[in-house]
Amino acid sequence: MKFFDPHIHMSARTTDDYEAMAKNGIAAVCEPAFWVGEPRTHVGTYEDYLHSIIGWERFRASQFGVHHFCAVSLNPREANNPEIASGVIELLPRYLHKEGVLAIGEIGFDDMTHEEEKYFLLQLEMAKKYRMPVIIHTPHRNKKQGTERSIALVREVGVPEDSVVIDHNTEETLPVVLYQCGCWAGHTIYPKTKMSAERMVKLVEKYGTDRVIVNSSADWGVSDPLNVPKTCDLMRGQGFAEERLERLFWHNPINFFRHGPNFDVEVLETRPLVDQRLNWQGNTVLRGQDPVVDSGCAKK
Amino acid sequence: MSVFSQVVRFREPGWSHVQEEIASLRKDFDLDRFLACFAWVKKCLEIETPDALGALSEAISIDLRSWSADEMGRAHFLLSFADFPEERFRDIVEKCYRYGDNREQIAVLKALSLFPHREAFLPIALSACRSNVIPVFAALALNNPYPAAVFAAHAFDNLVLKAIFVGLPLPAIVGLSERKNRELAQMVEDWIDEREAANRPVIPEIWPLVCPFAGESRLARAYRYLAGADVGHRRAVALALGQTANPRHLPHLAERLKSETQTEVKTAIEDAISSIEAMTGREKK
Repeated sequence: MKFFDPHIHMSARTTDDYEAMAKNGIAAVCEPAFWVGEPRTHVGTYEDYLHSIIGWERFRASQFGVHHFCAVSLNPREANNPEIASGVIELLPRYLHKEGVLAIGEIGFDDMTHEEEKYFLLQLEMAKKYRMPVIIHTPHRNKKQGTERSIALVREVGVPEDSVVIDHNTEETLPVVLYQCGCWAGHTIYPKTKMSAERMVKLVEKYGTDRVIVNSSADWGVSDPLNVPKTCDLMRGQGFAEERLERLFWHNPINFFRHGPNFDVEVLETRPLVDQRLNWQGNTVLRGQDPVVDSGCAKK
Repeated sequence: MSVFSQVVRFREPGWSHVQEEIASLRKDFDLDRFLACFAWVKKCLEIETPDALGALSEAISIDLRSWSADEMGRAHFLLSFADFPEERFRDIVEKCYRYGDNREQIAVLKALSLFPHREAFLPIALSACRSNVIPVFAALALNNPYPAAVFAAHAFDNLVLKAIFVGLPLPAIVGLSERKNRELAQMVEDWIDEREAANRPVIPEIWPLVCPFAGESRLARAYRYLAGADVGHRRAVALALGQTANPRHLPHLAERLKSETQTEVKTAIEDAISSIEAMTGREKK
């Protein structure tokens, strides 16, 4: 069975992770733009980061047979940073139509400040104008209020709700998303915080798979890039039918992202050909190993 | 000389150099030399009279027992320029924070409430609230009078919530009792809901924030913890209920007292009952 992890920060992960992900069936990922642990202090640094998730990271993933897509945005935390916020917003439209850019995200709230709301609204308007799907980050603290306010803003701007995923849900917020609006509900499976695999199983048993998405959000913190297949294994063990699992872990993310103009769904039918002889701007993922070369790659 | 002169000893030969730099920079300011000296000053002093820290802490209303020598040295260094025009001093402090490593940022945050025109440093403080480097956030959140004195309600409430999230000790947040409010209580109640749904523990220190504002269903939860298995929660709920003038708590406290075996909890319950009775007795008058 193939998996699509629709929310994972691969630029913080190693090639060991890519190898393990590929081995465990993860065929595609989407990497939303987020912050890097320390606040960025130059618009240029942020722009370089967008370049890296559109370019280098896409190549790096392909070297292990994983399709890499991304979402671009001014993330909620750095919306509070006056040194870069307006500058990043100005350059975003340049990147919305790049190859592999599926959505605007992550946007939303972190501390629910005035500045966060201002840039949240601007990016929702951008999504509406360019018909892009939206990945909304709900705050880790004050999550219920953040979720409700996010839904209100989506409605205020008039972004089609079925092209919005409200992410990082919990038992408190999932019914809000499923019953109070038409948005998708994302869930992040973390080893110790946020949602656990066991709790996710119970939620799917209770609420079904319609408009439900599961991701690992693996990043630079304690997180597991294999949590999507691991959650699937848990559900399989509890008797979930294969068709249901395929729907939840493969078709749901695809059906969410296909609301946007940049998603070439057909590419997912085949795994990227791995040719580790290739370089990206002179860079290789190898450090002395023999390159893996799929049959079907051009002879050197 | 700053207040820290009373408790620190400046090491030579380094400190003379720092004094010379201060004098030179006051005449002819250069940012790069200033930042270099700010970084370097930590090596030049040590706390000479730790016993005097308590008295000094009382005098300036900042708990210096949580400060290190390098933090005092850097605060002393910054205060040497505090008589500069407001905008200039603010710019200097911002640069120290912006270009600072973690230890330097911590020193700036701890010293904020000592600076004149302290509202001017609000952007630095709010930036620290977003830091993922917990010691940097803690330098602002704990044992620091600045947030309670300067933050608007929303910012202060979020600081408290983040402190809960990252496991910092709530009793060390200066002014928390005076600034508790209904919105913060709701945020904390929502957090408890999430923790309970995830079968994760709740810290006892939150009860003083929620009990004064709890409605019917939320009080039922507090009473549940009062009767629960955890000693820390039983004691904390009793103390929190005792701070309200609400006689409806009395039957629940009395009921718990009958079966309570832990001395510290029994004392807390008895004190709570006395306190509520006294407060409601006063009101009746």
